[in-house]
Order: sequence, then structure tokens, then C-alpha cells
Amino acid sequence: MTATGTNVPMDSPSGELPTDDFVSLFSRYQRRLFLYILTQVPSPVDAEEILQETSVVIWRKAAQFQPGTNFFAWASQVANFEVMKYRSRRKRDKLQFSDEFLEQVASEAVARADELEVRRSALMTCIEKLRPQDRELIQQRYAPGETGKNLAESMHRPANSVYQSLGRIRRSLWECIQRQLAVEN
Amino acid sequence: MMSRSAAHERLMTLLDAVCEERASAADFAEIERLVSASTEARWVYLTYIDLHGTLSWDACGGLSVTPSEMFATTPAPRRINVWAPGVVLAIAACVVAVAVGIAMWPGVPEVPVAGNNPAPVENDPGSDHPSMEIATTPKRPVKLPQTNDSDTIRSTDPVIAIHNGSPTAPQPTPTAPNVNVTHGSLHRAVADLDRLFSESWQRLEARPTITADNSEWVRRVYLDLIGRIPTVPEVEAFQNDTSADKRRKLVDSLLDGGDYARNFAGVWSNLLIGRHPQQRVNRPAFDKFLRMSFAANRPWNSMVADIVSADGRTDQNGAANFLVAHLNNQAVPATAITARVFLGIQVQCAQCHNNPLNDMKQAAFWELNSLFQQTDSIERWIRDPRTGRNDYAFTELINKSEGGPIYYETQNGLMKVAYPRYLGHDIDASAQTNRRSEFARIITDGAQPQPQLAAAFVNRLWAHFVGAGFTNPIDDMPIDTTDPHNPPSHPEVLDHLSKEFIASGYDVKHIIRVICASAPYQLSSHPTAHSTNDDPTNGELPTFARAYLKPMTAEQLYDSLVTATRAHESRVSDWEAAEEQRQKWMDQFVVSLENDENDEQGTLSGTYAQALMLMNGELIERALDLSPGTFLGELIRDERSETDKIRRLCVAALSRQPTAKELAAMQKIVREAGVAKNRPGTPRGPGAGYQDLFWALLNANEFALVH
Repeated sequence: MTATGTNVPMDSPSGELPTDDFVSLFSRYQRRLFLYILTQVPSPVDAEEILQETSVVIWRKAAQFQPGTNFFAWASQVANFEVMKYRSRRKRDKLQFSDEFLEQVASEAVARADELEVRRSALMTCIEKLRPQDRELIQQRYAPGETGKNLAESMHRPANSVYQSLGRIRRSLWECIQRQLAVEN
Repeated sequence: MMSRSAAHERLMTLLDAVCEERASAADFAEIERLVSASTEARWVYLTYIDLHGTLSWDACGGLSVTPSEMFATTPAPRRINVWAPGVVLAIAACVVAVAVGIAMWPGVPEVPVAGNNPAPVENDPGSDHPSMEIATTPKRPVKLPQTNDSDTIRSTDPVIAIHNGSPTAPQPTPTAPNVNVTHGSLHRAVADLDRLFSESWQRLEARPTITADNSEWVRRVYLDLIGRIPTVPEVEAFQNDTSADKRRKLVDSLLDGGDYARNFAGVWSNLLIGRHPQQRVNRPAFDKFLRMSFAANRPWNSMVADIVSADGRTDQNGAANFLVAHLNNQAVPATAITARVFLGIQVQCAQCHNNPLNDMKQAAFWELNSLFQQTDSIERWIRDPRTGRNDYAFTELINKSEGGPIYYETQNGLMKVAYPRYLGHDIDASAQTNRRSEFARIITDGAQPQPQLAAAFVNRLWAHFVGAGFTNPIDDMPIDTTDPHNPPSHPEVLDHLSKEFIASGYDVKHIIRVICASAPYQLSSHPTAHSTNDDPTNGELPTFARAYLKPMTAEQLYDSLVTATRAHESRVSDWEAAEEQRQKWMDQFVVSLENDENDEQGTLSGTYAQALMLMNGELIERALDLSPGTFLGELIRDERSETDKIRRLCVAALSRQPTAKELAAMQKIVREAGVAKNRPGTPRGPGAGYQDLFWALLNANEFALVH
């Protein structure tokens, strides 16, 4: 028996199993979805949690997706709903943006999704251009699960000075991307 | 009104604060104001957060299917195999299993799945997204990775050793427990324990739930003691035993078997050296040391003494592997794990600063740490005469016979001094004293009871059996009765069990017998209307008025699958090959945290990973093999009626008979599979219905939980 579940005579809630095309779309858009969620819930840990929940729903509703239409637009709707659910669970958390703000940000993120994607590829070049010690610092900061605070502790540097360095490097990356795109256009 | 460039600067600063999770509520509000003021600012917000996210995502690489080329060197080796692109397909199958689960067990109350993450599974009735029955504990990025390279302690230069083969460190010699524990003392200890619980239930106005029936209890005790579910004959033997003390008899017989020692050795190997393979650590040797020790029922304090004071070769003295695994990084991991696992005290924060949460001061951390500072581990390499190459042979723990205190730096940069000391016991700091042997002498000295050592062990053991410890987390206990940190939920019970453990001479089997005979262990895991607000997985205080559900560990799951299906009998020829497969399967669930304390994280507890592995794994495929020798293969060749076969399948997977309603649903599955046999591309034999049913049973939530 193959283990894909095709032999189970029960109807899956979505009726059909996702097609190969759907699987590849899903994989291709994982990162985009994560980044989309992150603009609304700006903590990578929380965003990843919401991504997990979103993925479950997307799989369950795979059959409702019309091949040929915009996958990201469709999937981002599911993500919006999950973000909403997440926010209502955390409504006592003060560190949140307002609904209006999120609406603005989300619609812009969808409208300019391709532009953002271009920037992401430019980032690669910009990281290469960093000074070696800056590249190393940013690499350490973004190692899985690392935080600026822990990094400062392990480097025996005052936290504020590490935050400043990280901010400076992030900004230079951001500006580098700006320049990069200006040149290309 | 700010100028445009000033506003831009300000926004960047605020966004940096968000990236470093330092932004306050006021910062969030200010960001909103700035961003709403101009479309340009909105774009800055989006692109800056996007940059932050891209860096996080690509560095983590967790779910990404496009491998990152961003960083030429990856920070620390991580092994997350479970999200391999091919496997992702199976999530659809997972959805099917959920449907089957819901359809078949309408009567099973929805229970939150125990796991490390206290986040409750939301089930919003108004939502069109019902929560999955399979726990969806989110994968989180692993914490605090740092390279474990130690440049000070480990000698990485190959040392050519003359291999004279002199066995220096002996394997543990089986010793009988110091104190002979009789059934009389067991009876008394249990009666006292039960009295304490009935008092506490009255006080908390908690009414104990119903007693676990034979099926629930037999499955639980097999899983807890020997790490696998019972077979059909084992369930039947227990059901048919009419003696009044059959539960006690079963515990005794399981404790006498080799599987108990094997299971406990596995559990403690994972706790002490971890699942993550390391070249220098000889896991089989460590496992053997533990297995022989548990089998001989050696007193716990002398096992700990052996582990902490071990010397010699990793292959000859298995106990030495604990320190070999953790001496890196100035023995910080060795200190942290010794304190956490053996003493139930979290000291790792105290490494850098006084811990605000408990009394363990930074000094105490380094005092304990100095016990390990005389020790070195040296890799031995042996020249292979045929190839002329030097091959790694083993690692050796040696004592450096250096004396004196150690120095550490406080947060404000002062150098301080720490003399060797363990929980108030001063240890001679001279070079002539072997500090670890001294530590071992103290904890095995019968005249000096070790309440902390005992409490940490019984707390862990209690949680192992009953599903929740007296403290949460179980290894973060107060240092003594005057320490206000993280007070236990049932101090009197913890105290009683600790004293009983010490009085019995740290007799592990005795304390297991006490726990297995206690009133809470007899209870069902079905909550009653009264058992609310006592769910430890939600951070609530346990009342122990019911048994708490435990997710199976990767080992339990594997061994139970093999037990239920006899999958190993279909293809694997010998024990070694079987063991290798088991290891391969297990490796998929470990994520090494690569932090200061050599922590790691099992990813099995109720994650997608578990679901995916189950649904798509090769093991499951073999489990459903119909060839003779497997459980299913034998079953379909059997003369029994359809109903009998279905009942047997249910007992094999869940150790219980199906209810009438379930039986009807199961019959439907088996029959409908026959009808669907002409489906193109899926040739279906006569066993197909049973395969479907068994697959659904093995993938049910009920299977992967210890009730």
C-alpha cells in the first residue's frame, strides 16, 4: 500500500488530494507567505506559528483553489484569517498594531508582492558586499533562534552596542537594496 | 512636525527595535503614526520588515524548499529532516486521518494533547477551521545556537596512544539494593501516599475521576515501564487474570524483565547524553552501563556517583561518556546538566549572573563547575598498520590533579574566585583531592541523606508515570524548603516520596512500585466535570485526580508500532539490522539546540513531523505488509470471522475492544474497501479493507498517546 492515503475510502474534507501542481505552488510560496505574515505580526517566532496554522488550512482547502488563478492572493486570504485568529487570542498583548494599520499594510504587501520578491533576490548580492566582520555579525544574529540580546551576552559586549551595530548593518543592507534596484531600473 | 529625513531616521530606529523585540507599546503606536502619514513610510516599513524576515527565514532554512545560498558557511549544523520536500505530500494524508479519527471516535472527549508547549489548541466553534485532532504544536526556531567548540579543554590533536589493552575502569558490578524492601513496607508507603492525596483532594475540592479500566491501565503500564504497548496475548492475559492483586503482579513481572532496564536506560541516555550522535560519545557503552545498573537495581545515588566520577575509556567504562559528552565549553554543559537532571536545579542562567528566579547564585554555579575542572578528555587515535592512517579509537577521561580555585567574571566585569563546593558541602581544593570522587563519596555516604538528589529523581519519575511532575518544569525545583522559587504543587507528597526513596537506600524499583500502586496511577485519563483547571499542559496546577495524557516519545512510538504490527518480522533479518533501522527512524526527530548547555529538543511531541512520519514512513508501509509473519499477514489468513478480526486489530493497536458504534464504523471501512477495488491504478487485494482500518488505527490520536 502506498502511504499517501489514496486507499482510504473516507472522503477527505477537501474531497480530493492536492495535485502535484498544488504541492509545488505551496512549496514555492512558503517563504512569501511567511514574509507576508511577518509584516502583520513582526515577530518571526509568532509568524512561523501562524504560517503553520495557515498551511494546515491551505492543505485542507486545496480543492477550492482554482488552478491558473493567483495562488499568493488566494493563500494570503487564508493567512489574513489566521492572523486575525491569532490576534484575537492575543488581544491582551499590548505589542500589536491596529486593525486599520494591518489592512493598509496587507493590501500594499499583496499589491507590490512582486516588487518585494525582486528586493529579496537583491539582498543576496548586498550581503556579499558587507565587510567580513559585519557579515559575520549579521549571520550570527540570524542563526536559528538567536536574539540580539543573547548574542551580546555571548560576545561579552554591551547589548546596546550590539543593537546599534545590527541596526547599522541592517540599514546598510536596506540602502544597498535600494541602490541595487535603482541601478537595475 | 518632523522633517522627512528625520521621520525616516526615526522610523528606522523604531523598526530596529521591533527587529530586536525591544519595541514598547508606545513604539508600536509611533510606528503606526509614522507609517499612516505617508505611503513612502509604509513602503519603508514593508521593505524593512521584509528584510528582517528574509534574513530570519533564509538563515533558519527550516521550511524553505529553496536552499539558501545566502550564507557561505552555515552557522551550526542542524538536522531537521522531517520537512524534506517529498514528505510534505503526506500532510494531505494527515488530513484524512483526522477525518477518520473524528468519524470513528465520536465518544472520546476532546482532550488537549500533552506537550511541552502550553498553548492550548484553540477550537473556536464559530470558525470554519476546526482544530486538528493531531496536535499542531508549531515548530519553532531552535534556541540559542552556539558553536560548542572548546579550545581550552578538549585536545583535538590526535594523540597516538600505545594500545596495551589494560582495562582500567570496570563495568558496574551488579549489586543488590542496600536495603531489602518487603511488601509490607510497600504497603505502608502506598497507604501513606494515598492518605496524603485524599487529604489534598479534599482541600482542593477535586473529585478523583473513575478508575482506569483494565485496557487503559495495562496499556499505560506497559508503555511506562517497558516503553511499548502490550501485544494482543498480553492484553488478554491481563484481562483474564482474576486475582485481586493482578496490577501489582504485572508491575513486578515487568520490572523483572529485561525490557524494563532497556527502556529506562534509553530514557536516561536521552536525558544525560542526548539523542544527537557525537563521534566521541560511545552511546552503546553508556546505554549498557545504564541497562546493567537498572537491571541490577543499583541504588540511584551510586549510579549517579559512578557517572559523575567516571574515569577511563569511553568503550570500557560506559559511565565516562556522560562527561565526555559535556566537558566542552569549560564544562558549562556538564555543570548545567548535572544540576538540572540529577539535582533538579536550573543553574545555567547563574553562569553569567545571579539568577533572579532562584537562590542559586553565580558563585554556586562556578563552585559546582570547579568539580569538573580537574578533568580532561583526550581522544586516542590508533594507527592502522594496513593503511598507515590514524583512526579514532576512543576517548579517555583523565584527572589533571591540579588544585586551587577557579576564577570567573561577574556581569560588571569583576573577577571572582570560586572554591569547589556542592550544595553546602565544601570540597578540599588541593591538587591531591580528586574533587569528583569526593562528590561521589558525599552523595553515597549513607550518613548524609541527599534530599535534593532524591527529590529530583522522584519528581521526574512521578511525571514519567502520572504525566505531570510536582513542579513545572520538572527539573526546576526549589533548592531546599526555604527557597521560594517555583514551589511544588504537592510539597507533602514530594517530601514523602523523597524520604521513602532515601529510606529504601535509593531503591529505584521500590519507588516505581510505590508510584504504580498509588491511587492517582489507578485513575483513568478521562476528565470529569470536576477535573477542570488542573491541566498542567495549560500551566495549571495538577491535582492528580486523573491521569494526565502523555504524548509517546519517538522510542515508544516506534517500539509500539513494531509491537502492534510485527513490521520487523516481514523484512529485517537480524537484531542488529533492526536496531539500525530503529536508530535511523529516531534520528528524524532530533533537533540539536547547539546551545551552551548541549540541550536538544525532540520534535516528536505532537508535531506535524510525527504525523508526517507516521503517515508516509517506510515503517508504516512495512507495517501494512500482508506477507506471512506480520500481524496483518497472519490476521487475514486466519479463520476468524470479520468481526473477530476487527476486534483483534483494535486490541493490537489500542489495547481495547471497539465500542458497538465504532465496530459498525469499522465494518463499513473494511467492506467499502472491497467495493473500491476497481479504482484505476490501485490494485486492491482481499486484505485492503483491513489495511485501511489498521492504518487509520495506527494514525489515530489515541494510538500516539499514553492514557
